[in-house]
Amino acid sequence: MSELINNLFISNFEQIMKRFLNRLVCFVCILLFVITVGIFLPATPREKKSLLFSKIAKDSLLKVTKSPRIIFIGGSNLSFGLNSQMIKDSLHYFPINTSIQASLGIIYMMDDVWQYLKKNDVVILVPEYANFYGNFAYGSEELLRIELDIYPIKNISLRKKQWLNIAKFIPKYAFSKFRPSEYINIKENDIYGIHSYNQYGDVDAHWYKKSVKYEPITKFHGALNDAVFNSIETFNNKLKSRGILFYVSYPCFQKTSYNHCAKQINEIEKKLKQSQINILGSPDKYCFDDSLTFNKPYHLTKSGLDRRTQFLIEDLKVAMK
Amino acid sequence: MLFNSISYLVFLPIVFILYWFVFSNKVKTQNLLLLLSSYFFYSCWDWRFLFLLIFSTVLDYYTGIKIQQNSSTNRRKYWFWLSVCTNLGFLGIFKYYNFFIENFIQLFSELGIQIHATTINIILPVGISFYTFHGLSYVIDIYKNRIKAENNFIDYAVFVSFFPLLVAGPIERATHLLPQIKIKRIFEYKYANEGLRQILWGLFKKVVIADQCAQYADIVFSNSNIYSGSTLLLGAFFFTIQIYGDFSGYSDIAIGTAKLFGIDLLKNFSYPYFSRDIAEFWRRWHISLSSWFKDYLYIPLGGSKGGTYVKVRNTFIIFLVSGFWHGANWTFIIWGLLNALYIMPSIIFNTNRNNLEIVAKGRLFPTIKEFISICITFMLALFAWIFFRSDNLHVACDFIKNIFDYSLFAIPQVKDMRLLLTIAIFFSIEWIGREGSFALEYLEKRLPLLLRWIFYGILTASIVSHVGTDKQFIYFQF
Repeated sequence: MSELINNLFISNFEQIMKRFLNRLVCFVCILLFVITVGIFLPATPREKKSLLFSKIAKDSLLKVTKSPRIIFIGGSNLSFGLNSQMIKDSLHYFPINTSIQASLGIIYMMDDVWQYLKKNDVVILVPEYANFYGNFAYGSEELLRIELDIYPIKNISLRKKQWLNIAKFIPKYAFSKFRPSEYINIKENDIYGIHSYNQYGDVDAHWYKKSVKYEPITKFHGALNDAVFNSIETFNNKLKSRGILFYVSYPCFQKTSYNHCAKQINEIEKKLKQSQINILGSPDKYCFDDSLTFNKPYHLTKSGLDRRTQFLIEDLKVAMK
Repeated sequence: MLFNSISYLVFLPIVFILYWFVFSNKVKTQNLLLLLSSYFFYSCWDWRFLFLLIFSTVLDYYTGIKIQQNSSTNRRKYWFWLSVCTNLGFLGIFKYYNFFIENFIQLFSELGIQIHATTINIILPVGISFYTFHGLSYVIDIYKNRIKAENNFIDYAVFVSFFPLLVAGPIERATHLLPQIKIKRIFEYKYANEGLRQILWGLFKKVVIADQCAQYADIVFSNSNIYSGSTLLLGAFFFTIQIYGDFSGYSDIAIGTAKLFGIDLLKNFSYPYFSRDIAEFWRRWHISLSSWFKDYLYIPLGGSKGGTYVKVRNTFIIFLVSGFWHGANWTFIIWGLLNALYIMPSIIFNTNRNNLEIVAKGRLFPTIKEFISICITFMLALFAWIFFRSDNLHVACDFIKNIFDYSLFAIPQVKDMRLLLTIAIFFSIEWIGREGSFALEYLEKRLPLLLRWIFYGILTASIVSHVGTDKQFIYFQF
């Protein structure tokens, strides 16, 4: 009798579970189908007008600019914090500001620029501090967009860790392709638009705009990532072997945020000093009063970025003697 | 491991499959699996605190048995107080030590006496307030002869550490959860389906509503001295929505997850922002904590027996303790005090049980009177949340002072029309579903399959469109 009840229960359980799982799997499959379609849809008109798409023009700058060249690699601390004309006027090098935003990750930036470098180039890497903590250096949603929308054929170039880091953004990326606002009433953003930068790659659209209030950064998430320091050292060695000068500098950073994160920044500085890499300046030198920042702790106003560029020029002159 | 993280998305199906397909034959093995999964889940935050959790579990399990075994009142008292003092001692050290030391130093320095005491740099173990209250309620119930002590350690440990409720509740009772742990659970389609819907709705509340509101609330609360009164008011509004979305979202995910394992957890929220007075609000907000305080503090203190004075005194005590439970900061205490003041008229005039049913039951729209009452209650709650959210009393007072300025009538400087629209849609759905235990409970009866799936698809799309922030739940800090 008990066996009979048991069997009845089991068969009933199986039926119910089967129904439950069938429906669940069916729902998940539909979602996966929509996501797959989204992945294969081309970049939306709104995205094509975003700053991210300036990547194409910046890559062509790297291809066509003649030597002697000075190439800046980093995130928005450079795109929103550099006046390349000043560099050109004082150092008589052709500056190329390749930076777009930090969330592409420093690993991608180094890997990507490698193909365009020539002998006698001067390369200056200025990673945002967050790159040295947690998995930030492996990129975020924007990296996925570059890989799938801007260079869809080339996307095998990413490392496994980068894919693991950006995979969680795939559904978000795919669903964004179905958002009506991506296709209608498109206006280019006056600061983060595809035309917001000058002939060297610096964003200049904000230069004469009023600063905006924003939240300071209170800490960088995750533990100090040794692999990032190793990758920079490897990059340094590779460049040396090709006769390219390589420097690492510190990003411009809002004073309030700097004070919050001073301990973590010191750890980065200490670790960089232990390496064989040529360093330009120090973190406190590139720490700027809040009034000189624009809309984020790494973004400077025109007077802020002129001062920052001046500091960089001074440091470079000393280092390149 | 956060409920809104990829790791939980992997963890949950694995435990589900093992639970129903591998260990389904015996309750014992299912419980062992739940316990190990819960410990793994907890150790993902900080494995060191797992030992504290296990110690607290062993202590309450053992003292529970000892209280039951001893017939002598003194021995029972001894074991009872051992458990209560140890539990509250841990809570005191980890949560309140620095608060008391700092306040003593300040008090003495104001009296002209300089004392030197060291504060400790200590991390608050996640969920300590919740599992301590689980253990306390269990020991108190045994001491009061309401329940029998549990002899099976695994079963008791699952009651304390069941992963959906471990870090932020609902605060369970042994009378409700332990019997469910002891019997064989049967997989029910309707129940599991409801669980999934509740998880989906909880995720929507957390990721789409709370986390988006948090962005604005954080900006406004961090720069309250520069914004206009209207912007500050909007910031407080965003925080009011954020804390509801965050905490009730967490509770929905916890309850939904438990349903997948055939376990029913206590309801924690019941549309508190549709309340017509503060008494109703507190019957609908963090229900498991309110009822805990009612059963283990308010009633032992005399409850409402003994006249108005006793009622008023007891109400103040539970609100102050409730405020202090949330954190070692004067802001929480003032928040509790403010709520006690709000509720006082209804306690004195015996109108606190006027609104027991959900508003406009059986009707689509509320009456004008109901609508005005809801708005007033919401504004009172919003005002109290300013204290809850502020870093200290000084900031809270400045924030309030800056609201009541001519700039209160200016156009807010921080606004997001899309988010306001999303909030409006969210509350409309909650309003329509307010007679269910969660907003989507009766969806099956109201919409055909295709429309339902489209609706679930839209919810899922909006959730995944906001991933990446992995923002912690507010109540984890308590």
